[in-house]
Amino acid sequence: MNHSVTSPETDTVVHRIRPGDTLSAIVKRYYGPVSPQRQQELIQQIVASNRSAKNASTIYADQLLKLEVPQQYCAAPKGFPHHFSASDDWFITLNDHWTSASPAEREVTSLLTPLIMGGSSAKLAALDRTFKQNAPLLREMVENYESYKGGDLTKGQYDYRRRKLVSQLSQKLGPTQWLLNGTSDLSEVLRISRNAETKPVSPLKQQAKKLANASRLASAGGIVLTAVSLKMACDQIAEAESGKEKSGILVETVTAATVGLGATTGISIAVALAATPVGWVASLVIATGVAAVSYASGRAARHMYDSLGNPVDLSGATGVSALCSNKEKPKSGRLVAPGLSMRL
Amino acid sequence: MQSTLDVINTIGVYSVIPAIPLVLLSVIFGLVLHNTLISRLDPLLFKEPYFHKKELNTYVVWPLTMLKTVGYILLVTFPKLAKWKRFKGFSGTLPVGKSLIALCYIELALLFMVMLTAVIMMITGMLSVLLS
Repeated sequence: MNHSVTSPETDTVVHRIRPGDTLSAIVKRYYGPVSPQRQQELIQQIVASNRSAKNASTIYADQLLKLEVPQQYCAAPKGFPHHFSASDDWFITLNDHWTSASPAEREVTSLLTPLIMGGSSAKLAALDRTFKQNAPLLREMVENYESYKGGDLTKGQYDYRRRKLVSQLSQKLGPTQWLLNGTSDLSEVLRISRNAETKPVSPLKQQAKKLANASRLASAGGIVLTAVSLKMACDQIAEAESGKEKSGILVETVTAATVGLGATTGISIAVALAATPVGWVASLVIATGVAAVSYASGRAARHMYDSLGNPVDLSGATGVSALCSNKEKPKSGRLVAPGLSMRL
Repeated sequence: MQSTLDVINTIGVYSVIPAIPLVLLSVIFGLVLHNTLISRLDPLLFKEPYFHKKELNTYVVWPLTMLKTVGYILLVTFPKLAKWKRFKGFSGTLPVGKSLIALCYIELALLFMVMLTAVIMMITGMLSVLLS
């Protein structure tokens, strides 16, 4: 890929088309998420400035396309938000906090991120977009290594490009990079394997796969997290030794779920009637508030159940005990979700 | 005092029994209505001036999209109330059949009962912790 500066705002990039490339994918890669109308405009612009592309449907592998791309694509400065929309200020703020935080603060933030994701699954679409858009950086890392091994790049060039890509990826992923590496240095995770039994680039490919899985999880959002919490409660009921213990867990879980649903319904009706737009910050505050109230109600219900002198076996009476019976014990640790092991 | 506390604890704990079917049914009916109503009413109503520009971007993402569904359910069941602020000026006919209207009423009743149960659970829980 060649770069030559044409104006203060744009660069000219020569892109070699690879098998499977489409003009819309190329537009997305270089310009980020744009509206369908803007995407069509950019495609027409590319077709018009490239004689070899007669129309949007006739491109072929190894064809070279000249593209006018935003200058920031080549050297993203700190906090550059080209893959975020104006409504994603929350992420930029969080990212700034992440880059200036101490290792101890990062540890706390990385532990809080799943809670933020759970409390505000509305954000998950933005996270999904973040992961999808940064996956090409990992692919570029693999391509660089293959070029280096093939003799197209010197070791110095390869090391420089790798450092630059790791730094870009670290900046763009911000706090969400915990999904890749917890709180370890990203450059340690994105390394070339020296193990003779595995392919050198397999760690990078594994991380790309991990990003794709996290992206799928993010798009499923609250449904996955709710299912995970219900599954965890069911497992706990199955593992509980006494009927009283099982019923206690059931009372706590059902109360928390009912209060959560009841509070959410009340807020939804108020919002629907008042015609007041709910912003990202408000949704985060509401979600956190509902989560806190439902958790507290669940704990209080457990306290009430434990205080009853001779309580009825609710888990047996409602059939939940039979539904959550422990047919087969898991061999290893609990799987929270595909590609994501959650530290609790 | 002890007997009052026992009554509170009993009400709080046994409110779980109606809560289980209420939550299950309201979630199932809610998902059915959500999928049906958005496909029928979005082309008609999911635009300005009924929704703010910001809402048009955010209410396409789960779970915020459910806020839109609650608005549609209110429009079907209590049109005057829904047209008071949200769907101001809407005078068209909604493309929903009698069965869907009935389901909207059932869902609203279920949600109301869930809210009532949640309030009972919160109040009894709070009193139980304070009194014990």
